[in-house]
Amino acid sequence: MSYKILIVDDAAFMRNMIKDVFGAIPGFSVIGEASNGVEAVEKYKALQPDLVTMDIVMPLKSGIEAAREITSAHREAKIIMCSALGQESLVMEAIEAGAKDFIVKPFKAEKVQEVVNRVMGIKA
Amino acid sequence: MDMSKYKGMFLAEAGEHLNNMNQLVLALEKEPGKKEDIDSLFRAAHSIKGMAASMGYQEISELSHKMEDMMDRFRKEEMSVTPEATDILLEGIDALERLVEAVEQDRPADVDIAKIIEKIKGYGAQKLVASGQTLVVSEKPATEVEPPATAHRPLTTGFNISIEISPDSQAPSVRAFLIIRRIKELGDLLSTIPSEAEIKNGKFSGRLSAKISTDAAQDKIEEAIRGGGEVVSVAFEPISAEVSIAEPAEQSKPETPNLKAETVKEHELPKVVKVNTSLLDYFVNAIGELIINKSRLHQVSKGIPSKELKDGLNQLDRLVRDLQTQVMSVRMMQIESITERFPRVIRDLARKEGKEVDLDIEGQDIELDRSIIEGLGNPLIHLIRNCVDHGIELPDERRASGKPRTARISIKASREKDQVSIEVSDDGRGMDPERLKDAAIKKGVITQEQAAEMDNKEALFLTCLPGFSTAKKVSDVSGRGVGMDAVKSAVESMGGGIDINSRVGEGTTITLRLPLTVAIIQSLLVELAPETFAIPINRVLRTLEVEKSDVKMSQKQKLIDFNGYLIPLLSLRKILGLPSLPAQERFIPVVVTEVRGRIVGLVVDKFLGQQETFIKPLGRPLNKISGLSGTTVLGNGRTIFLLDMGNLI
Repeated sequence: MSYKILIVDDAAFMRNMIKDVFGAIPGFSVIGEASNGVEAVEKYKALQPDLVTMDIVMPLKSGIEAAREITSAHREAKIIMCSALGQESLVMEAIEAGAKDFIVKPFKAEKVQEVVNRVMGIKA
Repeated sequence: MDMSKYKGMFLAEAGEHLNNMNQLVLALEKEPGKKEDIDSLFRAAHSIKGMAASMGYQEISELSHKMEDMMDRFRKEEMSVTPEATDILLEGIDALERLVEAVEQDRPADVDIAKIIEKIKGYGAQKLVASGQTLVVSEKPATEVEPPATAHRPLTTGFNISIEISPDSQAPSVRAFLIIRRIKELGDLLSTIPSEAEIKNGKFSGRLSAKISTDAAQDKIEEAIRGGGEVVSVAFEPISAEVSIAEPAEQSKPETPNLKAETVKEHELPKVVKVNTSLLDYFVNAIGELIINKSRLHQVSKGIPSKELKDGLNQLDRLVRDLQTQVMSVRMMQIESITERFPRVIRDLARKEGKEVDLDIEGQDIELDRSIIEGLGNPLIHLIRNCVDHGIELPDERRASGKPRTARISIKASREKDQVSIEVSDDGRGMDPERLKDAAIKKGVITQEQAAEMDNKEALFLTCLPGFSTAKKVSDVSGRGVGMDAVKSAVESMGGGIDINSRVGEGTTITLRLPLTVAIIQSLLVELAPETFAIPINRVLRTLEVEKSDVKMSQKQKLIDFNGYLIPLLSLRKILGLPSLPAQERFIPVVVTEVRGRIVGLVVDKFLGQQETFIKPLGRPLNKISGLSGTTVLGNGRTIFLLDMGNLI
């Protein structure tokens, strides 16, 4: 059995990249994608993923808002924020909103692996 | 920072961990693969390492670190636990104990840790070769990078935590923020440096310190912090009760005006504080003085017909008694605090002697006053050493006589009214009264005639005579005898008594009877005009008024009937060297007591009643007088002696 992942990013390029990164990690499979915060909340409910990667700046609803909505309904939700350098304060806001951890673009495969392991409670 | 105030805490805690480690290694020896034990050992070594490192005790931290590594490799099943490994671990624990002791006594330690570390390394290397792995140091053990960490203790109310974030973190301030959030889930965050507001503004250099009030365990907190990710090091410094009280200003002072209200709220002070034991001794003394003063007041009030005064005094009685009960209960300690090191002692002794011994301990949760617990350690060690060295036979000899190869030593503690009895027994060869007598005659301790009059019990008690027990050869004959005089005098100086029972071929049981407390005890006051003496009530089996006509004579020895047995009737006056009184009443007051396992009746002039007495030890040279063990002051201001029943005759 593998962990189900929902990828949320408004840029298809980024979603693909993230998919590739997770594709390289054994035991994970991407089961859905969302390109904005509203879609993210809906997909979360529908798919009940084990892990969500969440972009911050997105149309319709930001990743922070989406994270807040998801975690207020599902406390156990594991959301990893995907941020760029210079977005520190936004990430902190997202963490306050309930995100469990974060990764910084450009993604380094080993960092992503590390964060995912930590959030999923997988011993490296 | 001044670390000296943490020294006591370090010593206490390191001691606990070492005791624990000793037991765990012994358990591991029996069940080498037990994962929980390996984990606990690992954690104990880890805690000691962390504490020692923060205290700057280099050698302790280095050695415990190496032991921790060793445990870590057991954990990862890179090596297996063999008898050789447990020997090395025990050697390491011993060395740590000596190092800690040296710290305690502020002296340099004479421990060669390099040698032990060499052994640990050698063991690891050997195991690697054996399992076909190369000798290249595979991976730095995870523990290597860990910084000093101070272990959690129950009385700790919080921690100052220093956290270092990895320099290659892409967003260290966010990481710090995340970690702060995680800490908040485990307690009240009192303050952080830099403050949360500063961190939010990106002011973060990679180091975070957080002050947290919590009752969560340290390893829990550390786990949470490390779970925040990219943490290079975490160091804990416990905030104990004293510290919290000493630094209220610091806690209530917000680090920055932006700090959230909840972080500066006054945090609740702990319900438990640590106190120095000398303070407990002071309390006992103070209560003792109160009791003396109280009886003085009672004495004075006898001539004053005032109801108010009487009521006040009665109230005072109650208050003092309550206070005493409370203080005494604080001083109580479980017997376990001394017996917990016995399995190790017995294992080592048995190994050295080539014997096989199992140890049973019962009633470890029984409590005694700490002064008695302190005084009991060495006598008990003497007793179990005697069991292993002399009482117990070699495995082959045991089998030849139809016993199991593995001998059994049992320590049984039980409470009997206001006494505790501790039985140390073995199923060894026992003691032969006749051979004991022969040995004592040879040593010139007793004469042939004395020996002839001795019953078996008295013969067993020969082992407690100083001249006897120091005689080296005796142990071969008696299977007993090393330091028994020391055991007896230690027990008696605490107001206790000793009994010996033994059967040839079946084993020996030594019973120590101890009062629960020493300083304040119930005494029977007896008059031997013009003197008054106090007798510890726990040494009094019964008081009798014997009719003169009921006294029997046998070979010049007066005897009386006690529960169907004839017991010798002795004059306490004669024993104490007081002039005898000519006239006697029709009824003779007799105190029935036990002296060296024998029940005797002691004739006194008069019973004066039972009283709570505060016993003060005798100073030199009075402490040299045999038969007296302390003094107490009566309500009338008079100082009287407490009789040392075990050494009267």
